[in-house]
Amino acid sequence: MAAVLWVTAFAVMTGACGGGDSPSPPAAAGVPVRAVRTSDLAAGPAAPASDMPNPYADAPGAEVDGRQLYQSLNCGGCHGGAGGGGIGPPLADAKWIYGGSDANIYASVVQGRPNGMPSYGPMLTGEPVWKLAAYVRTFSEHAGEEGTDE
Amino acid sequence: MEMCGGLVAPAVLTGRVTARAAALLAVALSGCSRGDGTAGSVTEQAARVAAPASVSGIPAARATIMLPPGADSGEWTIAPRDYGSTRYSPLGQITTANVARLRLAWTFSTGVLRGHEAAPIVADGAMYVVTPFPNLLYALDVATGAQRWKYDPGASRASQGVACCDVVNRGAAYAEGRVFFNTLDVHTVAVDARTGKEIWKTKLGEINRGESMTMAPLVADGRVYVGNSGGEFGVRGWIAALDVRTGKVVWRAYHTGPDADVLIGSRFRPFYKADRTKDLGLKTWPAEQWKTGGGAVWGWISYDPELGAIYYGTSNPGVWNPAVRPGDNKWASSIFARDARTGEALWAYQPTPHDQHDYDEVNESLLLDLDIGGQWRSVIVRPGRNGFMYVLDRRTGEVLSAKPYGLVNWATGVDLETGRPTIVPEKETGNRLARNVCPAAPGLKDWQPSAFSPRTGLLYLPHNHLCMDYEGGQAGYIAGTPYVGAQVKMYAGPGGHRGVFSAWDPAGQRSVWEIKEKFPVWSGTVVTAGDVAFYGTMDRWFKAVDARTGKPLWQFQTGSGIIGQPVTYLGPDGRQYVAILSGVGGWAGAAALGILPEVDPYIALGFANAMKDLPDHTPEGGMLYVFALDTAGGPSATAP
Repeated sequence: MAAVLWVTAFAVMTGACGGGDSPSPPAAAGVPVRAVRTSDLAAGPAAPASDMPNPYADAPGAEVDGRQLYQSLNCGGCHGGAGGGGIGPPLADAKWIYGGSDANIYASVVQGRPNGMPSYGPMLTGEPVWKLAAYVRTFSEHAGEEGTDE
Repeated sequence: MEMCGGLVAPAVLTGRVTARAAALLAVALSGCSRGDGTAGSVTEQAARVAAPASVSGIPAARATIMLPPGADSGEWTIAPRDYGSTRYSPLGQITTANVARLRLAWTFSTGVLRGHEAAPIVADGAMYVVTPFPNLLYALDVATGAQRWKYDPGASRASQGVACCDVVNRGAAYAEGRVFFNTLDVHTVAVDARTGKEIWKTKLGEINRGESMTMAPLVADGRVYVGNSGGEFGVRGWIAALDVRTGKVVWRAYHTGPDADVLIGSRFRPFYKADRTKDLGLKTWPAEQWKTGGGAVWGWISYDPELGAIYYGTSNPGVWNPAVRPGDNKWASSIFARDARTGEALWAYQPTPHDQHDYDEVNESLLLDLDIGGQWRSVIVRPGRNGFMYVLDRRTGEVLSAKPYGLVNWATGVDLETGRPTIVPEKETGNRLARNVCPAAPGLKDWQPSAFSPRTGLLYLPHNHLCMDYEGGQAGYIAGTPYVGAQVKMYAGPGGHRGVFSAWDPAGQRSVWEIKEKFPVWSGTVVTAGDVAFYGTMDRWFKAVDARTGKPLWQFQTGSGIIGQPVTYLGPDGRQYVAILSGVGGWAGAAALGILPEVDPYIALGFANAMKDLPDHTPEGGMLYVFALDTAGGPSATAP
């Protein structure tokens, strides 16, 4: 499941200029499939980084769009309007259960996570989720200074 | 059901071991106890030897303690102990004179570190403890604490995502050799009390519609009564009765929608004329809003065997922001009387029409008898979340009185002609900011159940002292996600304390004594024939106080904050035990569960803002503590 969605995400990135809301599976053929890594500990030889750049990182208004999505998708109902957490874990700290890269956040939103994070994949994938990820990351930008467990 | 006249040899005494029989006889002699020996419930009535609560010298409040059939005075088989939800125990070994000698007898770790709100259940020599999610059920030996078995219902981890206010569970219920409880992922389960094997498991709802279950079932007359949670997820609330034997749904009533779904029919006779219109569950909502209108049943259910009726209340309407749902929003924040057998509504009453402050009406219904103007009336006493102490006629639903039992400023009173509150306009919410509304969203008292002593005629109230700022906002319904649309920020009420444990005279409608606590008193309470009341605090103290005066008598520091329900029982050794779960959490304890109110005051529906210092007083935990009187001058020990 993770691999399939990762392929989708990658396809969105490569096809971004075409408006990546509806990636076509054939375009993903041949793209290296990588699972989302959520651990700093790797067994065996060092594994390649799983980070993939956010294709909308530099898009104008990405975080503004992301903020709007954060509100309209009821994200704040669990994670707090300012990311302080609640039903779900805080986002305004440096702790990331499932990885803190944009790609990790993208995967968490689309796939859901087992302890209550709903899968938003049936509702949306691609551009809006990347923008949402860009916004979510802003909560924690200054949080690392508090000496959390990372 | 009738009041106990002379001392009748209690049926419950037969066939007991000597020590136990002697202790039970002491119970019987200290008051009186009778069983009808057939299908009915065992009833108890404590002797009214107490110094009176009323000026006339005789308590003007009393209760017929209706135990489930088969339960004896030394057990605790359902979370409220008795059908009338008095949580009064006739055990009198532990008294105001000797409670200071209470010592730890044994402990048990549940292995779970979330809010432990459950009442330990005691029946047939075993204690049954259900944990917060993952809702493990443990059977323990009541005397030694030895683990007999553990049952894991395999609840879905995803259900944690639809639990508004921590993944709590309020306890199990025992009847006919079975233990019943609800799982967060919306199942009711029956487990064999002896073996721990699952007998049946019934799926009753869907987490993908935001439903969950947290309440303790009530078992009575061959049926298990349960309801859903999810008023913050736009659920459509319901109550259901399941067959004890099979787990099949006997009836289910919704609290919004057409009368046919609410089981409102020819027998429905609400007291207030305005409530007699057809299909109010539809007509008091805009368009389709009733489909996500809340009215869940996550609190307490009482049962009157004589009238064959159950009594309970429903949760807040969905969505929180009242601007989105003009109308009374029936039957959210309402009280129902239903025929226990068929589910037919007998009467209903809505204390908080068009709720604007999250004033659920799920609190306990104490079935008492009050002397009102020289006449004994069978009533329901309900410490309302909205701050008013409702006294209703049990048969008709008429509000006999409704006095505030703490700080209330959203309404000036309740009009007894119409049953409606007189609302203060500046405390109305909707699409505006209302400041300093008291009580705050968790109410003057939330789920934490009170207790009533027929000896003192007093009600013992663990409760909150919080106010809030509330501003409604946008909310879009997405199934399986929160549906709130309000920014709330809570803080301590005047004086700075956030909780109160008090004694209330339900006949005289006045507070008799009060103990201020740093944090909301989010635990339940029990009061005994020894005139001792027990409760716990979120800063880790388990306390015993004199039920007549409120004088602190004893306290014990537990590992984590207490939000559980104390119970007391008689061990096979004939000794009286007191048990409480420690483990902070719940809505009130969210701040201790790793969230960040310092960066975001509105989280945990605004509660965390009032609890920023909680992590300085308690870590998470999950431990059962059982106490008994120190007998031979030292802590009790078990031979290896």
